[in-house]
Amino acid sequence: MREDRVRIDFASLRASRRDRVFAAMERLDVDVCLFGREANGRYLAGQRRLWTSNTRAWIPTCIAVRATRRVHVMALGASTEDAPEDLGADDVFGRSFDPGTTSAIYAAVPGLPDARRIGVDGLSVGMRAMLDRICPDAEVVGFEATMRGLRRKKLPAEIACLRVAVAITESALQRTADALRPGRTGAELQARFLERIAELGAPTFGVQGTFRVPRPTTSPPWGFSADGFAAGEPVVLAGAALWSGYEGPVGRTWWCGDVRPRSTARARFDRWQRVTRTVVDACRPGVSGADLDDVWAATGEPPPAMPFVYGVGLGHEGPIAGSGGGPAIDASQVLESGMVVGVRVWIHDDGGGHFGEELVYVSSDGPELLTTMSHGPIARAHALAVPSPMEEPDDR
Amino acid sequence: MGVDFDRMRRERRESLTRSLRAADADGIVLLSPSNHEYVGVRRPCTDAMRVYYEPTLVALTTDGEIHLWTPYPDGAPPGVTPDHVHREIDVEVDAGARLLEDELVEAFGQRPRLAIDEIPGGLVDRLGSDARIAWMDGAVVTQPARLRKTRDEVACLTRAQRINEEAILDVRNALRPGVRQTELSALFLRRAFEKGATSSCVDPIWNLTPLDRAHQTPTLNGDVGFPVASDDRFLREGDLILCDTGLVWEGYHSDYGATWLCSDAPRPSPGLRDCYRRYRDLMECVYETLRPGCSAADVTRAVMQLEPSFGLDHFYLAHGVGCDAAESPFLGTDRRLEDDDDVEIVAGMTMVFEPVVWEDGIGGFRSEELVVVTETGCERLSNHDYAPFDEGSPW
Repeated sequence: MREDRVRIDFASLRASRRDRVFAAMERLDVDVCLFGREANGRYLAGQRRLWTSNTRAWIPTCIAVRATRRVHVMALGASTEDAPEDLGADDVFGRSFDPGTTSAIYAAVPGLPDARRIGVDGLSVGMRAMLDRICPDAEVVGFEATMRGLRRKKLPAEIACLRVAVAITESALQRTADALRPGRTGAELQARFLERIAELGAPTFGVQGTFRVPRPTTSPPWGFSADGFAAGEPVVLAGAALWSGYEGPVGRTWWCGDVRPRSTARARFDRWQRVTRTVVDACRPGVSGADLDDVWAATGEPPPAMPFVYGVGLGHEGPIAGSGGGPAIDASQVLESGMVVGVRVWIHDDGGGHFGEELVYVSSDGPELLTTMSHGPIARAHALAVPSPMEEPDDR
Repeated sequence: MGVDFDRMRRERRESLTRSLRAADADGIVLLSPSNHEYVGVRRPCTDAMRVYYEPTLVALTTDGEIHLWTPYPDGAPPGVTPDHVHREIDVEVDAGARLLEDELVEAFGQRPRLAIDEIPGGLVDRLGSDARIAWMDGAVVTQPARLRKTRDEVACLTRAQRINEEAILDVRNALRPGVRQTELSALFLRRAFEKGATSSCVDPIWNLTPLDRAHQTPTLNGDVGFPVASDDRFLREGDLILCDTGLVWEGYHSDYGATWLCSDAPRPSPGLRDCYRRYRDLMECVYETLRPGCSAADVTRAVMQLEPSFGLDHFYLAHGVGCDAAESPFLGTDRRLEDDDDVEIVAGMTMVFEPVVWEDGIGGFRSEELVVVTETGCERLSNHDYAPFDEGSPW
């Protein structure tokens, strides 16, 4: 989808992001950056690549040269339509299947063969060898951690992009909620989710979606079920649209059929809401991932099985709290004003679970929810002190 | 044809371990989703901008044992030892990369020789001569292993292709002047998932293609502008549409391509019909030539006898297909033809041929054909028609 409309001055956004990358290169004395990761190319150049789900083997598709302040991007097809307007025809290069030609393409990038320090966001063993031939004297250094730091702190226009992405996801999830009834399958909901995103002009996905009954597992549900849902079942509806590269992840647990939600489901929602509110409220500048781990522990819920706070922007921007690396790594992840984080909370017990995800803007005034979607029938059901005789005794 | 998933997993893993031993590696570390699929490890379908930051890492030993670091433990294939399934590691940062090294040394012993398909950001600064792991190029292991498809893999590819083709029928019926590209995409995705697709792998392409290159989107090489990402632009009477759609079933990629005319009563011009006939002749030549024992260059040379210019300068005659939408082998690329003499065609290879016959000013014809190399020749797995170009087309 083109980036030339609605509330955002993309040329200025691209220029601001590019300036930040060049400033970081200056600070770290890096002469050339070679990016193969799509999000970094998108950040540096505003490159709009044909969307595909799988990754491609690491090759530099976006190059920044400090001496010339030029940015060069690869056109994977020959069309230059996916290159932003502020790049000239000379700034776009093709690809080749011939190793000699590939080497020549990179060697022809002005400034690359003379580089002393080259920053990369990934590598392959083969590309490392090619770099040794093109620039034998250059030192190759990791630049991914730097890019993560830059990308996490959002410019105002990026917040606007994220709001649009969330709006698309919510519209698409609402369509699945409206279609949820006994007999419908997760696949049919997934079909409607993707259909609605495409209708809104953004047929690209950060996460293709979760549409299934939550089972009592320690890790959150994902994927979709081919079986029909039954009346009185909770159903997880979650996914993420992309808009101009920015991702809007949203998750909810809905309720199938006209049967009143059971008190056990409502109790899980209450737990979910309590934990989520507590975590969201703690998302403030200066707070570390390890601090958030402590906030989680204090809720009394069992330890999370996947990161429950993570950076969101041009896709996923790395775990912040609840990561598999443990508290030492989480302690190094510190929230700053301007960051946007996904807060996803999975509550489970022997009978089932409740999943939900919110997108949170960490501002100097405190956390602001960027998600606006309601929590549906379970949240609307009255919490009952004792199960009603109308309800079934247990979830499943 | 049914799929025996247990057999498929077993045979794929055997192929990888054979390849590991041939490369004299102690094991391989896999980061890319298509390689995860190949070893039977599942994860949600996510965009390339999410894959690396919510990483699943797989290490495979020469004995076929899997070690897994993932936020999705229930994506582990059957038979994986539970204590080999660990929490995910953020290998984009230095501390995470160090942690991965610790765990690999514990699993494989001191200074193991490990292949890796991609070096994550956090490992870049840890590749010096004092590295704790002797890394080697993962493609040397995965490419030969994934080249020949088993019967179950072929069945998966065929199923994916059918879902794609069935969804396309509804889209083709919806093609009318005034329809937007994104509306076609919406309908395609809706139908495909209702028919059993497990993920979408590419933004559907409905390439609006002016009949001469001079009026097309600017390109680096001056050739036909394809593919151009879909937009909310709407289509008009007589528009030439080159479409290209992909969908995944159980990890395997389909690939559908066709040439359409946007019209209530599409009538290809005589020149366009001629391009179509030449395309069909070209494919007949492929079907006659492609067999085990010939080389990739033999096929390209045979095609060039008929059509010296058989495709777009920036693409190729054919690409392999499997757990990736485009994988080895590639035929008729910009490599020197002599280099392709060394690429032997073997039974079990699956490929998508996508030649383009273009006459500037008239337009051109492009379609795609999924083909499997059999013991004696090859078989077309695609099953689409060529409306409105084939004779007696009802369209």
